[in-house]
Amino acid sequence: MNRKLFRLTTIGGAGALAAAAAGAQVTFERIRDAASEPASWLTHSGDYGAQRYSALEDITPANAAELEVKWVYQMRDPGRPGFVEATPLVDDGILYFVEPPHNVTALDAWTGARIWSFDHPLPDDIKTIGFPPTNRGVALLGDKVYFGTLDAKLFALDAGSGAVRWSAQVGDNSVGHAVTMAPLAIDGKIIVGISGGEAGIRGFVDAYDAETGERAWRFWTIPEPGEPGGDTWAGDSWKQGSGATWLTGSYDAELDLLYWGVGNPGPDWNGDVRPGDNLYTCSVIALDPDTGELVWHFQYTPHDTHDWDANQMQVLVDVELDGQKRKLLTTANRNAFYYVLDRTDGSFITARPYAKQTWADGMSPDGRPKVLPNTEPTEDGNLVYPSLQGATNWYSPSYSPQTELFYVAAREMGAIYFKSDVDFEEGTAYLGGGQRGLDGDEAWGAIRALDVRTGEKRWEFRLPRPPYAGLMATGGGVVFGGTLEGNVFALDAETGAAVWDFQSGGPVRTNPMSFAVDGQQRVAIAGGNALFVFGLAD
Amino acid sequence: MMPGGTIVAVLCAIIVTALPAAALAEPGRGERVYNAHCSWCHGVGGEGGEGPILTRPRLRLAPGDEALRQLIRTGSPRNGMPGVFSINDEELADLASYVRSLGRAEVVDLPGDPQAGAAIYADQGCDSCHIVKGDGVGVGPELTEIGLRRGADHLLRSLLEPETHVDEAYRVMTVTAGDRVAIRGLRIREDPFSVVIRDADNRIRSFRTADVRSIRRRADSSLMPAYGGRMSDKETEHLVAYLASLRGEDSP
Repeated sequence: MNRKLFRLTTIGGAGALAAAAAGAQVTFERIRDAASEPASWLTHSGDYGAQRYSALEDITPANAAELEVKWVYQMRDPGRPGFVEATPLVDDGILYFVEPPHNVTALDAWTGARIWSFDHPLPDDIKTIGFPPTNRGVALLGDKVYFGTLDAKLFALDAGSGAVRWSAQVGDNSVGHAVTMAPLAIDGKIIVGISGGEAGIRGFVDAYDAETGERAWRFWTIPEPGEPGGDTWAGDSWKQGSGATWLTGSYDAELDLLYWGVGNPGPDWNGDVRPGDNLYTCSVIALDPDTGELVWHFQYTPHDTHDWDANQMQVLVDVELDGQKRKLLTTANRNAFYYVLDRTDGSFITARPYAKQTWADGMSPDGRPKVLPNTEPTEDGNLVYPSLQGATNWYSPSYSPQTELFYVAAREMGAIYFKSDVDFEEGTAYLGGGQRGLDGDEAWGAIRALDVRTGEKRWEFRLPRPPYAGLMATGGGVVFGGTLEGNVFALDAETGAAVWDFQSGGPVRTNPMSFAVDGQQRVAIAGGNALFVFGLAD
Repeated sequence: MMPGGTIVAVLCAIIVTALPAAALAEPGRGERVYNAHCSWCHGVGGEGGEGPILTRPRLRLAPGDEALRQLIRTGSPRNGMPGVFSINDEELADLASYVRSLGRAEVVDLPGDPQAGAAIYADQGCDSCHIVKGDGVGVGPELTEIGLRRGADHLLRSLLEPETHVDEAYRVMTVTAGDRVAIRGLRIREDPFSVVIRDADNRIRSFRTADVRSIRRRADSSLMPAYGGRMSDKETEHLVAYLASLRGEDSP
């Protein structure tokens, strides 16, 4: 694609004029076809397939060294608790962002000037059990901006003014529920998951009517006795089974299936109270978006005792495999394996470690891990790789259809896992142990490019410390990322060579994204307490 | 300034008057709250992990107890630490006490004479690399509170065999840049694109990774010489007693 073509569809161009006539409208069709509109960034991962790929091609390995800061937005209250982890969305010249802990701000995407903010007060008795107070972004649909709150509400705001259109109570914060994820907007519905997997909740995925806020359905991630999967829990353990759903899922509009990663079982490290596979924890579930019914599931880590949840991006990829065009679901799981599934039916194709792991001797033909002996947490502690933060975590990987590589920010770190007795008390931590991470000299990280079909490593870019920031590949052949030491960087997507870096002055623990203003590509990512927007010199 | 012990006592008194007695110091609660909220990063027992080791007498971001409680509440986003606001004040007090309990070396009777040790410290020129109460040079660790942090065994080992256990904060690196001159120093910070060390002359040197020919990291190397053959056993005993007596505001 050439640059002229983009100019026509970018903000301020002809496309925006047409949209302006009817007021800003983010239709379902626009999100579905997001790949044809790279000047915008309309959903959390840029597209329903969670590829976090921008087709914009201004910035290349050859010119990335000329990137400069175009504007900076300072968070209004840097003294507040929490991290800046949101991905901005951009539509029609406006950038929508969430400042911690859960306040939405609309900015002029051209200048960074603030247009409106919606502040949601934090109740004094708020609970965040097992996760930092944070918010990972908004969803756009029609003329509304959707986001969740730490007190487990879902809000629909007017995109023009920030005024509340409706709000819904998704969960009950007194038991540990919170909404930290960016909601997913599909045709007429807003899909939301829940946090609280360290508080012994019973997880669920909800759908809300985008216009009215009425709940359309709820899927419980922990089945009751008598339901399919109910026999994978002993006694009443399913009631505190956790299975939180705290990261945005993906969606295949053609198959009309939602894909959602499900969290760890509760209690995290003491599995004695819940013998069995503990479905649907540490699984990907495929749901019918009309009814919320389960269509298929695949469990990555049966009976997990290391908090290796499956709250990572489920990346939808269409490639040829053995001469056949296939619809794949790929993911770099927290348990250190990269998986390839057939997303039409959940059948297992392959898996391969992408980071050091010491818990499994590969997979059975059906994708069930062959768990090694003596890898469970113990009272005296047991060293296992990866650490509980995983070989990766919630931050996004990226897939480039151009290189057919899957890019992941990998953590090389082990941990000594401990087990302890545990009693369940509603609204408190339900853990049954802990870990001591092997940090310091022994821990490191890498940005890795994997063959999307096999998970085979093509290149890596080493990091002295394990990372906590996501990646974005672009049509210009560049992969953007960040480090906890404050670096924002660009790598050559083909070779992994560093082509640009910038010290933001604060830890980067969020995802990059890209958009265009007046035909010029921009890259946005937060570092510390500020949102940075980069572009090439004019 | 008030000695540290008095500050703790005063704060406890305030809490006693402010809270019902039944809510106070529930046994094991501080540790439970710690395990739920802090151990993810700071490790079980404060042994460290993603976050810093907490088995220290004085925490950099929380010099006093009030500062520690405030830090736990608000976090330090700059340092990647989230605030823990989902606990009540009683739990917070227990948590802070628990964290404080992780880091103090006990006062023990040692055979050496601290005063004689102070003279040996001066004779051996320890102040050319260490600072005590403002005096000296800050190449190596400041020793003003070393007696709070480290027991006699550790101090003795550090004197005789400094390379057997080098704190990660004092990791030695040798950086060779484009001019082929190798610079040896302590790692100050390192990221994929730059490395900063402090050399033996206490000079801070910054390198762009792209300009660096090689970086050697040595976990078993220290800028501190071994003092095994330089002092008699008696002198060593005195020096250890002196170092153990350095307890900051708690010092006699």
